[in-house]
Amino acid sequence: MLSLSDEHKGHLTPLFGQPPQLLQDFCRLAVDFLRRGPNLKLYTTAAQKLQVDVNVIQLAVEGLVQLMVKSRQNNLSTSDFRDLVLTSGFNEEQERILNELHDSNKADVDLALTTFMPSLLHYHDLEWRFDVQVASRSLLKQTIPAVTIKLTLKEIPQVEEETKYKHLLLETDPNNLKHLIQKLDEALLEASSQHSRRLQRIFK
Amino acid sequence: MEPKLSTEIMTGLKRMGNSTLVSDEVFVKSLQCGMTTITQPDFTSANLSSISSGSSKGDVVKEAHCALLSLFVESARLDLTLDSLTVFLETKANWPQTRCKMLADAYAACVSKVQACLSNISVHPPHIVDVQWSLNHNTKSSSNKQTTSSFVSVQFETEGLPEGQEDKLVKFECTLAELQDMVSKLKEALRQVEHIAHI
Amino acid sequence: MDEVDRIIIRSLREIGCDIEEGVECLKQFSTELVVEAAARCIEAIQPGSGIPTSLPPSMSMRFRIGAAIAQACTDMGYGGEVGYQTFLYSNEADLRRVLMFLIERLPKDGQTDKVVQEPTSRSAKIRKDISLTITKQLSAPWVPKFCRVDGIRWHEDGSFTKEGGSCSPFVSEPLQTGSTSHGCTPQEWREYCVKYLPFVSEQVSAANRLIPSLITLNSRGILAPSQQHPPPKAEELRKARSALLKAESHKLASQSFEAQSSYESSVKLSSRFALNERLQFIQEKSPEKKKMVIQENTQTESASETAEERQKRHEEEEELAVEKMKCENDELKDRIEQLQLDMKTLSAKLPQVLEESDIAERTLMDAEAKQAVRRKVLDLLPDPEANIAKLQAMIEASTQKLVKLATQWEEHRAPLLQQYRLARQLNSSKASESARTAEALRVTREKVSELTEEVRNKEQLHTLLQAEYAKVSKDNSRSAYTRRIMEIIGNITKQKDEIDKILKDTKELHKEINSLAGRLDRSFTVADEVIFRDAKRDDVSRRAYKLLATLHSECSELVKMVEETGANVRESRDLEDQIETESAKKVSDNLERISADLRQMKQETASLAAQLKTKAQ
Repeated sequence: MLSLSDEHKGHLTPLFGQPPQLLQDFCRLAVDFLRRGPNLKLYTTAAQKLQVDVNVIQLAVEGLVQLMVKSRQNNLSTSDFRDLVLTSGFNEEQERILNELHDSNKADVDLALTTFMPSLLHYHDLEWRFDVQVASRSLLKQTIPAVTIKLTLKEIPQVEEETKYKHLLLETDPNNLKHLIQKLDEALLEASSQHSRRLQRIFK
Repeated sequence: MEPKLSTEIMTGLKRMGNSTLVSDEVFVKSLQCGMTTITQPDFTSANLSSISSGSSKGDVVKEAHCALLSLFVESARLDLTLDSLTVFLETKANWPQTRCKMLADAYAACVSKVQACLSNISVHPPHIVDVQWSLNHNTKSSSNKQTTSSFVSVQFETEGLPEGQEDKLVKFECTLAELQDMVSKLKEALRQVEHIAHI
Repeated sequence: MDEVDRIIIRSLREIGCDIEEGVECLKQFSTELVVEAAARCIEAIQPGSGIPTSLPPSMSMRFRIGAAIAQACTDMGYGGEVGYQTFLYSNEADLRRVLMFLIERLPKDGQTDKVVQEPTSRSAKIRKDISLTITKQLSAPWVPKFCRVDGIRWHEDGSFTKEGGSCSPFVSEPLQTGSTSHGCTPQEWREYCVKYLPFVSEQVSAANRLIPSLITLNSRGILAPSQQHPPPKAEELRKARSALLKAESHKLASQSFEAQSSYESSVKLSSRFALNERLQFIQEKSPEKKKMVIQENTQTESASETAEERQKRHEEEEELAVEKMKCENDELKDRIEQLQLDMKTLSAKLPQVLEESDIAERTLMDAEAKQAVRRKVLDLLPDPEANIAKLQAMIEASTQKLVKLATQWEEHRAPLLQQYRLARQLNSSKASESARTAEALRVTREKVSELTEEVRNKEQLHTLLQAEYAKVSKDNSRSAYTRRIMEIIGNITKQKDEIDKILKDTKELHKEINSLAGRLDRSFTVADEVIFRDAKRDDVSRRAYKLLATLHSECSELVKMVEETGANVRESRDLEDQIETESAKKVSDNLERISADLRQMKQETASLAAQLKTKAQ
C-alpha cells in the first residue's frame, strides 16, 4: 500500500478543505506543468489572489504532479488511488476531482516518464547512394564500388526541448552490405520468433 | 603505353642500367630492396645501407633507388603491362636485356601489391565492416515501473577513419518497425547493386 | 503437346542437333538423339562441360554419360527427379520436362553476342569491370575485418577488391634525389650525396607518405623540365646541415674525423682552384661551406662533453692555417688581376702589328719582280739586232705552237662535245621516264589505299549487315512463336467457351432432372394419398395402391441402376486414361531394353574378366 511522505503531505496541506473550484484551478496548473513546465507568472497571480506566498503555490502544484506521477508509476487502480487520496487528507468531493485528473492525464504522465529513461541515439532515417570509384590520383584505373549511407539519428527529446538530429555519413562495400542485411534480418526473425513473442506476453 | 618519367628520374634509370656504374651484384640487391620498400610501407630501412656499402658509387645507388621506386609506382599507377615496361626500358633507358628481364620479373611479382597500396591512398567516410545487434525487452526502469517495450540495439563497426580513431562504433537503438524500415532500404540498395552487376 | 514438341525440336535444331525432317514429336526420339540433344543443350549453357554428344558402344560408358548429364541438370537447378534412366530409357513426359527446362536455360542470342563481342569503348569496359568487381564481391564469402590487411581482399585469380580498411590521404613531401646539385661544385655535391644524403625512402617522415611523394616528385619533374630547382642555396644547405647533424649525433666518435676530412677536402679544393677563372665563385661559396663545417664542428664539440682538449687545440691550429692561406689567396688574386690586365692590352695591340708586317712584305715582293725584269732587259741590250730577231723567232714559234694547240683542242673537243650531248639527251629521257614511272606508282598506291579503305568499309558493312541479319532471323522465330502462342490462346478460349457451354447444359439438365424428380415426388404423394384413401373402401383401389408402391420402388431402383451405370462408365474412362499414361511410359519396352543392356554389360564384364585372367596368367 502506497502512502505519501510527510513532506509531500505538507506541500499539499494548503489544498485540504479548499472549495472544489479552486482545486480544479490547481489541477489545471498541474496539467500545464506536466505539458509545458513550471510557469511562475501564473503562480504569482494565484498567490496574490489567495494572499499567500508564491512558494506555497508552487509547492502545491508540484505536489499534485508528484501525486500523479507516483500513482502512475505504481499503476494504481481507481480504488487504490481513492484510498491514497482520502488517507492523505482530501475530502470526498476533492477526491472525485483528483481521480478525474488522474484518469484523464495518464497518457501525458507516461510520455513524460519515458523521456527520463536512459537511452542511446535513436534511429530516424537512412538514405543511400551507390558510387563506384574508377580512378584516383594515385591509381588511374580502378573499380571500387561503395554504397554511401547517410544515417540520421535523433536524440530522445527531454521535456520542452526540440528534437536534435545527428547525421552520420558512412559507406560500405557490396560484400559487407550483404552481410549487414543478413545479420539484421536475423534480428527481425528473432523478434518475431516464438520465444520472443512468449517473452513479450509474459511481461505485458 | 609507357610511363612518363621526368628527366631527373630517367637519368637515374639509365645509370641503373649501366653495368659500369652499377655492378650486377648491386643491381640485384637494390632491386630486392626496392621491392620490399615499396610493398611494405612500414619497412625498416636496415637493408638500404647494405646496398650502398657494397659499391663505391653511393650517390648512383641512391639515385637508382629513387628511380626504381618511381618506376614501380608510375608503372603500377598506369597499370602497365610487362611487355610495354620491357620495351620502355630497352628503348628509352637502354637497359641490357638481362636486367630488363629481372626487373620485369620483380614488377610482375609486386605490381598488385603496389596497386593495393595505391588504392589505399584516398579519403572516404568510415567504412562499415560489421554489425552487432541485441534484442531487448524493457520491463522496468527507474522512472517508470510498469513499461513494456521491445527495441533493438544496433552497433555498426567501422574502419578507415584517420589514424588514432580506429574501430569507431556507431551505436543506436530502434524499434522493430524502424529496423524493418532500415533493412528494407538496405535491401533495395543491394538489389540495385546486383542489378548493376548483371547489366 | 504437339506445339511444345515442335518448339523443342526447333530450338534443338538451332543449337545444332541433327534431327531428321520427319521427326515431329518427342515420342519419335531415339536414345542417341535424346542424349545428343541434352548434351548439346548443356554445352550451350555451360561451355566446356565436356559431355560427348554421341553414345559410345560400351554400356558402362553409356551409363556414365547418362549420369553425367543428369548431374549437370541437377547442378543447374532442375527440381524434378532425374537420373541416367531419364535419358537412356526415356519416357515422354519426363523427357519433355527436362528438355523444356534445358531450353529455357539456353543463353539468348543477345547474351551470346555480348559474350562474344568484347566491349571496345572505354565506358563499356568500365561498366564491365564494375559488374565484374561487384559480382566478385557478392559471390565471395563474408570475412571479419581482421582477415583483411588494410581492407584489401585478395581473390584467387590474383586480383583484389577493397573492402574498408584504413586509408591515408595523399600527403607528399619534397624528396632529394641527388641528381641535381644546388649551386655548389659537382665534387662537393657528390661528396654530400655519397656520404650524407639519405635514401628517398628514409627522407619521408611517415611511411605512407613515400608513394605520394614519389608521384609528386615525378609529376613536378615532368611539368617543369627546364626550370632548375630554385636557387635558394642557403635554405638547402641549412637543411643538409641539419640532416648531417642528425646523422652524426648518433656516432660521436667517427663524426669528428669525418667532418675533419670533409673540411680538409674543401680546403684543398679551394687552393687547387686558386688560379682558376672560377675563383670568384668559389670564394663566394667556400667560406660559407667552411663556416658551416666549422660551425658544425663547434656545435658537435659542444654537444659532446667527452671531446678532448687536444682536439680542440688541433682545431685552432687548423683555423690559423686557414687564415694564413686566405691571406696567400688574396695576394695571388691581386697578382693574377695585374697579369690579366697586361695581357688584355697586349692582345689588343697584336692585330695591328700583324697587319703592318703584311703590307711591308707585299711591297717587298713587288719590288723584287720589277728588279728581275730590269735585269733581263739589261742583259739583252749589248747586241740589239740579233737579239730582236731571236725574240721575233721565238714569238713566231710560240704563235705557231698556239695555233697547233688550238686545232688539236678542236679535234678532241668535237667528239667529246658530241658525246656529252648524247649523254645529256639520254639522261633527260631517262629522267622523264622515271618521273613517269613514279607518277604511275603514286597513282597505283593511291588506288591501293582507296581500295583498302573501300574493302574495310565493305567489311564493316558486311559485319553490320550480318549482325542485323542475325537479329532479323531471330525476330522471325520470335514472331513465329508469338503467332503460335496467339493461336494456342485462341484454341484455349474456344475450348473454354465449349466447356462453359457444356457446363451450362449440364446445369440445365440437372435443374430439369431436379424439377422433374420434384414433380414426380409430388404427383406420387398425391396419387398415394388419393389411392390410399380409396383403398380403405375399395378392393381395386387397394390393389392399385399395392401396384403403385411396387411401381415406385421399381422405378427408384431403375434410376439407381442408371446412376450406377454412369458412375461405372466414368470409372472405366478413368482407368482407360490411366492405362494410356502407363503405356506411354513404355515400361515393358524399357524393361526389355534394360535387360538387353544388362546382358550386354554382363558380357562386357565377362570379357573384361577373361582378359584380366589371361593377362594375369
